[in-house]
Amino acid sequence: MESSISLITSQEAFDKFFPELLWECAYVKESHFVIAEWKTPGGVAFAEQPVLRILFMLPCELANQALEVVAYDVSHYSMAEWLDDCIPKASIKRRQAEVAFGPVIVKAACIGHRWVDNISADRNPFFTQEGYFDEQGKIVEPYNIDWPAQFDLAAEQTT
Amino acid sequence: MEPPLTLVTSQAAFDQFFSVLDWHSAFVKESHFAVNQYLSDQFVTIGEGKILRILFVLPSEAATRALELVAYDVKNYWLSDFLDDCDPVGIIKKRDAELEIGPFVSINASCLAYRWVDNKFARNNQLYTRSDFLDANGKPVEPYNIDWKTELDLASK
Repeated sequence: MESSISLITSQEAFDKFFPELLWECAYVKESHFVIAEWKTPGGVAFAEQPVLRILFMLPCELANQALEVVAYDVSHYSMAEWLDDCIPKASIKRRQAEVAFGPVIVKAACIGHRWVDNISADRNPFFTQEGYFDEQGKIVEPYNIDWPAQFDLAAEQTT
Repeated sequence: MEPPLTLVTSQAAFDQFFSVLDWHSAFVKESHFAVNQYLSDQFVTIGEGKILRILFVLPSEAATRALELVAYDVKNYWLSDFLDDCDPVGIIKKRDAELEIGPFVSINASCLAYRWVDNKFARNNQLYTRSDFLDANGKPVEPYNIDWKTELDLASK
């Protein structure tokens, strides 16, 4: 069972989490981009919205966990395996997130993150074994996140 | 069961296939990048290649199939779902393949390959969340089992 996704709803939230991690020798193990458009068992189509998931390996964390970054409503992204030891930088605005992990650059409406088990961090592929539904047929994270609503809520709380 | 992959072993092979297709309103529906490093049932490491798989939907073909592109030994890539109605431009050299489709899609790899896959993946099903690296017998499946280096060498002789 993975932990829940934390949405980055402000520049401060990004700066508190990402630059604090140790990114030396970090790399991308896996990424999955999909237009999240699918049918439920009842035949209902969901909204079109490109979702990008990236599994980062941070050597200092490898014994325990890997970092998954999820980007919602991705407009485009640049990917490389090695991050060139760069510390992540971002510009986070309401429904506009531009993030650079060295040469890995993502432009999206919203990003989130969570830690995943080190089984995924070790040698097994992660995204090829992940379905969109749980055993009860309910949509799982990160596809079930109503990020626009959470953004709006965060914006209301700061005003 | 998907058809076998066809490796793009020359510039002529690229031009003959990709330039003939109708790319009008085509888009990227799904992509999967993985450092191909995993354990089989016998705890054997298979390899460390970096493989990018992209599922293109070409509306002119969507009624029957979708196009999967596989890039081996990927150095970097730039992707968007939006192809801007552009045709692919490729530069294919021995162990060096560059592909561009419009302003937002660019792939730099050592080798490219392609195959047509079932049209259910062009519609509402996902391909890469259900395709594992190993089959039921624990053997690597396509595209992970392709010895593209040997095939490129053979093609250049």
